[in-house]
Amino acid sequence: MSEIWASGRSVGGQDRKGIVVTGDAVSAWFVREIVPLEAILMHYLRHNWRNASDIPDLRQEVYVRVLQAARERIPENPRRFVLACARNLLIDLVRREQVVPMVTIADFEAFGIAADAPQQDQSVIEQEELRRLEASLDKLPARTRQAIALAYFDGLSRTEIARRMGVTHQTASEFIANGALILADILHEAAADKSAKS
Amino acid sequence: MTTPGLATSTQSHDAIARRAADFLERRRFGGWSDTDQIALDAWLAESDFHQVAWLRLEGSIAHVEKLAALRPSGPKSNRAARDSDGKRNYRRFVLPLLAAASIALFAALGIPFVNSLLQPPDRSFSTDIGGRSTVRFADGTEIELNTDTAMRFRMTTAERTVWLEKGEAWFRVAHNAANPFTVVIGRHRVTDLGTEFFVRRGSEGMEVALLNGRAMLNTEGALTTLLAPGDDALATPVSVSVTRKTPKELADALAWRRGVLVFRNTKLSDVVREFNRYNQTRLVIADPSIADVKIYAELKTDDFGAFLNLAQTVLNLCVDHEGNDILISRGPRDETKRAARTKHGL
Repeated sequence: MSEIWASGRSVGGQDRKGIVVTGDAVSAWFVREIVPLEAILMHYLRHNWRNASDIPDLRQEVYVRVLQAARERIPENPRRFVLACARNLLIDLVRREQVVPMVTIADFEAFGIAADAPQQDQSVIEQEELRRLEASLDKLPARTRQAIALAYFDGLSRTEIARRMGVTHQTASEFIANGALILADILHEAAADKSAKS
Repeated sequence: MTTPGLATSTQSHDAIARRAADFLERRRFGGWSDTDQIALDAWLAESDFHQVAWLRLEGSIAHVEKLAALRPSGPKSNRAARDSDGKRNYRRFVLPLLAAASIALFAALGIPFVNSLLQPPDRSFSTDIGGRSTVRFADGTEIELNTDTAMRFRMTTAERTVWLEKGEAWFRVAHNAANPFTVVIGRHRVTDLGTEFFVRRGSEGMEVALLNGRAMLNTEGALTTLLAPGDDALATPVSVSVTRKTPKELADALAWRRGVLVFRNTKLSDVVREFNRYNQTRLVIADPSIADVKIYAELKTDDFGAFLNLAQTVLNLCVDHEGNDILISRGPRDETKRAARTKHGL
């Protein structure tokens, strides 16, 4: 299914020119294939790296390696490839810094992550994902949650969000931007919790 | 960066992510200019760390929005959805919409993630007070948003739906029998059958006027009305009334597309209400006895000067500024002014 979208022209007021469907094939592949694997990647990193505060940086480093490799050639099995990159990164770090890892860095097959996932019913999974996401949202501070709901669930404008929250545009912007960061984290964390339990 | 040996990133993940979030916020929620786009492009080109942070954030948010669209309607959706009735409807039309091809694609993924590029989330478009904006779609459809208007739309090869959340818009729809075009306002819907029309969301309900083609109006009360060119329908929760307008009247009603308001024998109260839709400064009729004064005028939507001039010289009304409001009352203004001055000891 492709989106019908061409261009926007503004005569005044505000415009959403930024609505662009990216044309870059590698970026598109990355968003489609790699970002969804974050829960698995985080799960792997957490179990193989002692210092939890390093994890987000490690994750981004893995992403960069994957992106750079994909520019040469798109890997056939993204799941396997991401985990291989993560493993290589950890091994590199251990070698370079003479850090003793908390366990021998697990091969991902040994680690119990199947490189190929079984097929599941898409709509059931999405409902489940949504339920977990909402549960995570409920744990957030009320204002943060409100901003996220208005912006990303209801798609309201910044003006409208500012009005409903009773804050300035500037403050609303900060809530919305911060909300995006939180959403990206909890989306994958919620999934990681589930894969850790199963 | 706390981890030694992570090669190339000079900035912490946090700072990069924050920057990406700022870009994303501005791009999605307004105020995005060509300069911003250039800044984003430059920032992305600077480092692969910037790129992955951007892609991760964008992909995740697109996915959240897709999930949000799956939320059930009604009391179960317990968040902000409840105070925006226009939103509830869209969930009903969400299809569990994956073509066989994309299902096969997802089969390879452990956490099935909706391909945001194959199935884009709904887009939003809005204008501020006084703003006007045109959107053109690749299928030839054109939408022009009038002042203070917000809409959400889903334009795909399988579905073309626009939810008008507030305000007014003009549509010229490229007809496609296989993929009808629908405008939803609250519980009312207009489905085009090859059409040029405009729609306004008012306090009473939905107003639809058809310029060309044919369209079908389905209202909340499940009434179906077929509209012909010239028909101006007002749908409330309980009724639909259709009046016939001449092409000239319709052209007047659409003069905002030229940045103009046309009044022919229009009550002052209606003129003021129209003007106020386009401007932050509010006109207020301070004297109810002048509300029914009739006016002929063609005015720019933001031209207070012309309007006030008309009010003072032609209608001999009195105009006073009070904070952000402009009060209009009956003259003679000189005496009123003099009285006010005397009162303040001037």
